[in-house]
Amino acid sequence: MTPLITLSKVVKTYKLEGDIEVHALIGVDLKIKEGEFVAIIGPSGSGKSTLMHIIGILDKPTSGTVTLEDHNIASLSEEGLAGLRNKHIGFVFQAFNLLPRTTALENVELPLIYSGVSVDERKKRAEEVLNIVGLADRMEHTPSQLSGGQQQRVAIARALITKPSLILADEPTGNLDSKAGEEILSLLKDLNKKGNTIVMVTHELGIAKEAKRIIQMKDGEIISDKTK
Amino acid sequence: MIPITEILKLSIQSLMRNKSRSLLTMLGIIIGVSAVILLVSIGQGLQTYITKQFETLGANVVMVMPGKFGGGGNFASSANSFMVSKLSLSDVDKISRLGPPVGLVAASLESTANVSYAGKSRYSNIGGYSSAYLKIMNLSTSTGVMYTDADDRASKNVVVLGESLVTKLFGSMNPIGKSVTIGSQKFRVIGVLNKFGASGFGLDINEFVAMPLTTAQKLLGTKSIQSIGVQAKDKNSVPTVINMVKKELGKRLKEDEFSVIDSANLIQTINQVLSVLTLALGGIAAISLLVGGVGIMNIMLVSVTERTREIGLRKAVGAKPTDILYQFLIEAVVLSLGGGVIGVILGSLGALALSSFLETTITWWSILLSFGVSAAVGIIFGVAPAARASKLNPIEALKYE
Repeated sequence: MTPLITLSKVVKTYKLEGDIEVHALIGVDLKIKEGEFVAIIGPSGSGKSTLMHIIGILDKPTSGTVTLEDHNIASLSEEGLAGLRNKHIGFVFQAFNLLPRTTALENVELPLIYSGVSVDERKKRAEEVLNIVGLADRMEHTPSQLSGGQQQRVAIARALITKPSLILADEPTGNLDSKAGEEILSLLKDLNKKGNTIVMVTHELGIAKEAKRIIQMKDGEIISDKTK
Repeated sequence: MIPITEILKLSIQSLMRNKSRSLLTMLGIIIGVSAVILLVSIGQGLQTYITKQFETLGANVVMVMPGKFGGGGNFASSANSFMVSKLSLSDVDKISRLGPPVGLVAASLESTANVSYAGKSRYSNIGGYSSAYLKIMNLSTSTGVMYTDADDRASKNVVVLGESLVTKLFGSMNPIGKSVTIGSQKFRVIGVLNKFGASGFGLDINEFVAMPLTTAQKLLGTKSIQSIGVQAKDKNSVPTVINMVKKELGKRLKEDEFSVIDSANLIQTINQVLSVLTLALGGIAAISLLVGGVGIMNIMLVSVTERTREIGLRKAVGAKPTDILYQFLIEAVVLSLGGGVIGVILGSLGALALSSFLETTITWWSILLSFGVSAAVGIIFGVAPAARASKLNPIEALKYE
């Protein structure tokens, strides 16, 4: 089976002020296939955030190639990247990043606005995915009226709505208490069972162990890659 | 890029999330636009009013005024200078003897005084007019009779009253034959004038007393007259008449002691002054539009900073830089155009409300200009914040605290 995303000899170097170079990634090879549940783990400064940005095509590598379903990332403009993110990637953030004073339904619809989907279709699909994450009765609530766990469910629904190839979760339980965190993890596992590909970035080994495949990062490279 | 209607919806949603802030930001534009509409309508109204007033004189009437008028001269010096007027009734005779194309020659002397009857008193305009003046101005009575040349020659104490003054002094009583007191003298009322002319600017031109010219001279204790009206045979002979009158009066008076002007000339001069005044007023009001624009830019910059994470999120889920640019640009334009629309409505309502006691004319060009300027203000002051938003790096923006 062809991989969903392939990273080959990916190097990412940032230039800070005063020409100081930071080598965030120093040569990463990685293939992620459809239906996988991957956890990327590592201490802060290990390059896992940079790797996530590259997988999420928010950023281009300094050298090396990234291929997402036949698209070579290096050849795309910022507009092209935005279109590709919209179609293939669903983001879940640590801080939820929901729009304030905006209902759950409208928050979930957001990515579809940029896909050019009609208003009726947007609403229908938003209701479907809110159903999947168990918030059918909270659609008209604004973030401030929802608990942290519920807010993260809205964010997951938002990630699901475009039927993306890949769901990218950055410390999805980081802002939640352990009970809500467990619920979010089991929701992600559930979604994976239904066929969604999930890549989760975390610094907690206990959470990473819930994934099927664990990739450990240190000093800008992968030091271990284990599949259960 | 996503359709403009979608972006418009996004922008309006964002603005509605901050209703009071959006309204306060619009206020600058609202005040600017309504001020422009209101001030220009007052200026235009004044122009219309004055033009109408002078048009009652007729296009073929030439006026002789004391002092120097126009051409850089002091306007005020001729407006209120009957005290130093060197014009006299003998000048009227000399001009009327010139013959065609000179027609009727009228003399007038105006002042203000208290007019009282049976304990009621009004401070009114007093006009001493020769009978030729009454003919030129088309003054006639609705009840009673007009005074005659004989009354004028005899300086009889007879008056005809304007309709408004009659109502104020006599109520529903018939004033004919009654005596009113002006100064310390008594005058018999022989007629009531027909209502005439436009009213406005707090003046009621129907509240006045007309009397024979020589009677007025006696009352005011003067031998001079304030102005001479010379009727030309037709419009084309006006320049000839002006030259004839100038030559005749020049024999006796110095060049700067009198002016000869025709009404078209007068209206033109006054309108020029008023146009400049209207433009200046509108210009001052337009400055507040500029201030409103700066207010919009300020709020949009704050908004971009405040919503950095939102911008990061939008970009992460697929918003292109142009989508973000247009969203913020359209937010600014909606603010300024919304302010423009509300301002035009408020300004027009204000002008309508004022029109009950002074004449206002709402001009289409001031409305179009206000719309255009407020749209331009939104675009000009919205571009910088919108460009800043569109250029944000999504990774940085998502991490922004």
